[in-house]
Order: sequence, then structure tokens, then C-alpha cells
Amino acid sequence: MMGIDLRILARRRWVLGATLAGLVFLIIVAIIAAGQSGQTRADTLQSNSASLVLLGGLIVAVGLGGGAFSRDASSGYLGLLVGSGATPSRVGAVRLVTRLAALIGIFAIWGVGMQLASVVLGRGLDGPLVVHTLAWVVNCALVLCASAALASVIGPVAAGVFGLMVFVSAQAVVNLKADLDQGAISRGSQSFVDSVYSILPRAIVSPMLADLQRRGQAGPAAPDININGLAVVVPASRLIDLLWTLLWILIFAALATYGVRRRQL
Amino acid sequence: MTDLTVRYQGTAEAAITSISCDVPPGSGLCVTGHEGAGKTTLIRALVGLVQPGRGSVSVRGGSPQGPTVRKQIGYGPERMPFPRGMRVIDAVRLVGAIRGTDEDANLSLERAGLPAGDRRLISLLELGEVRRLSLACAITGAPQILVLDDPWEYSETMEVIRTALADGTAVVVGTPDPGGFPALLGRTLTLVDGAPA
Repeated sequence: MMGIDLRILARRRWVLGATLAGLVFLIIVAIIAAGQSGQTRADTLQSNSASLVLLGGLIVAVGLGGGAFSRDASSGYLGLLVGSGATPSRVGAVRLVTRLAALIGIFAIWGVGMQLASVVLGRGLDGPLVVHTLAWVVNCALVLCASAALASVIGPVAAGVFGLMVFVSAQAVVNLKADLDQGAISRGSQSFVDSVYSILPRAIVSPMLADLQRRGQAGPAAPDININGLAVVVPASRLIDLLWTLLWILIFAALATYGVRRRQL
Repeated sequence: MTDLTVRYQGTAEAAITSISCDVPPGSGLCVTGHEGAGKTTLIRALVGLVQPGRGSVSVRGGSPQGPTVRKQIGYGPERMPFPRGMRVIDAVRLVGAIRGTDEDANLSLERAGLPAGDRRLISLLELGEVRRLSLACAITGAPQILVLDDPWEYSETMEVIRTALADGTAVVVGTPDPGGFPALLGRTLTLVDGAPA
């Protein structure tokens, strides 16, 4: 079931379009970076790649997660699968895993494009960029699963908006924690910040992005944070942050699978 | 089906009300009625896709809500129940894999009047070919009960039903346009506003 689902996804025009658009963007970035030298060249490739996985990745994740169920449920396809003997939970789980595989596939294609660009630019393979790409696979998996969790019970647009809101909140708690730890906001906010930081999922920040932000070179992927004249740098995530966000991904995936059981197919 | 009532999801309004009937092995039932009469709801209850609000559905002694029972049912949904990016042969193979049969998908395609090894994208099919594909999915794996929602009256469709009845398969067909189905199936249940006429 998963192989067929994956092939269907791969034939979707928007999936192909998003993947190709990302590659075209990387070619343009490589051409621009080729006209530069030294650290500027490296920063151009890394910051624009970070922008691609942020904006392109979120679009793909919302599309895959928000569209996980509704169209195929209303067309009767999911009903055909369940009516033929599959359990709704299995149908939900397979569709979710398929979409996660598609997300990883798209990131793999973009990641190869980034590494090729780095090699062509004479920088060799870019390890920090690989780590950053992997970090964003996790962030986008969170958005995808959150969108899918709601897509199992409501329409795709609202589900996609919810997925985005989950990411915004995950990034916000990480930023707030950095603000607090670096003294940019009052200690009076500590109990609130610690509470939300302990509960909500956390956006994964790579060492590369933290470094780019510290040097003011991250671009849209990590704009400068300046609170009361104090520049705040969001530090790279720790292993516990990664594990916590992975747990949230599992929670949303379980909710999506459960939601399919409740949904009219 | 015994005193079967199904309500629209999240409402108290009944889509079908107090329907009782029995379809023994080797016999048929044609469910007919106008658009919105409740034919599809009845068929979806029969294959376990909607839960009865009252009454019960029993298929070979078990509830169709269970996947084991559902695997004995060959279900051909109405309209276009396939993703547009799917290939014809993949649809039949997928249903066969879910039912756990190793039967050649090409046999089902040919019996439904489609070419063997058909690798066309479903988005390229005409509506009549989609109905044939729905039939091919339904007959994959030699089900013990055949449930077809709005099949078109092709000679292959009639032959499939004739063969199924002769093999002891119970056949239920829902259609707004009965044509030759009642004569073939032997019994007709006409629904009006969700209730037997």
C-alpha cells in the first residue's frame, strides 16, 4: 500500500513542482555564490539553503500533512481500502508514513543539490549544512504530523494552518527561552517561559543556523532578534530538545491515526 | 440487515430507516431509488463503512465493522473512488494485497472488460472505464459477497454477476437506473427517502 501511495504522491504536480522549484532556486544561489569569494560565498550558500528548507519545507509539509486524508476520503478511495479489509488505523498510519517518506525524499533531493552546489563552488561537502537539513526534516515532520492530526477530522486548509501554528509556537518557545537565558526579558517571566518551554514542542535549531545568526548572516531563516537593544542569539538545540520534539511528532502521528478511525470514510 | 437505521454523521437525521432484509448465498438484491434515497448509505453500512444507529448488519455471521469479515466482501464503490495519479493495474493489485490474495490482477481486469496489464493513469480513463475498474476491484480475490454501488450495465458486469450467483456468492447492487439488474438478481428493494417503498 505504501509503495503505491508513494508513487501516487510522486506524480502530484505540486509535489514535483515544489521539488523542482527548490532545485532551480539552488542553481540560482550557486550562480550568485560563484561570483563571490571566501566566507561570503559560504554564507550565501548556507543562508539561502536555510531559507529554502524553511519556506519550501514548510510549504511541502503543510501540503503533505493537510492533504493527507480529506480529498481521498471524500472521493471514496479510503472507503475502498477500508471496505476491502484494511483497518482505518492501518490506512491512516500508512498514509502518514508515506507522506513522511515523501518529505524525506524531497529534502534528500534538495540536500544533494546543496552539496553539489557546495562541491561545484569548490568548498567540498558541507557537513554543517547536512546537519541543518536534517534538523529541518524534524521541524517539517512536526508540521506535517500536526497538520495530518487535524486533517483527519477537519478540512485541509484549517489543518495546514494548525500545522503552521504549531511550528510558530515551537519556534516562539525556543526564542523566548533564549531571550530569558540571555537576560533580554525580565526574570518575572521565568515561570511562564519555563512552563511553555517544558510543555510545547521545540523548533530544532542547527549549529550552522546559530552561527549564521550570531554573525547576522542567516537571512529569513533566523532574523536578528533585538530586544531592548540586546541582540539575542538562539542557541543550537540539544539532544533533549530533539527527543522532546520527536515525542511530539509521535503524539501528533498517533492522533492522526486515531482521527482516521473516527472519520467517515 | 435487521431493522437497520443509519443517521448522518453528527446529526439525528436518519439517512435510512428500519430496513430489514436477508441475502442468502447465491442470491441477489437490487437496491434502487432516486438520488438521495439512501442506496449508497445502505451499501456503506453493508460493507462496514458506517455504523448503524439502530439495528444490525450481519455478514456471514459476523459484523462488517471487523476487517476479517470485510475481506470476504468485494466492494465496488460509486463514482471515482481512486486517486488520479494511480495506475489502473495498481488499483486492482492494492485491493488484492489488502484482501491477502495472490490472484493475478489481470484476470479481474479482463473480466471487467479492461485490458490486461493496463498501466494507464486513472485520470486518463473515461467514466465508464472507471466503473469497470471499480468492478475489477470488487471481484479481486473471489469474495463471498459482492457489493456494487452504481455499476453500469455492461455485458461484462452482467456476466460477472451471473457467474458470482452461480458460484454461491451473494450479490447486492445499488443503482438509480435498475435496467436489467432486477431480472438478473431476482429481488428488488426500492428506497424512498431512506425507507422501503
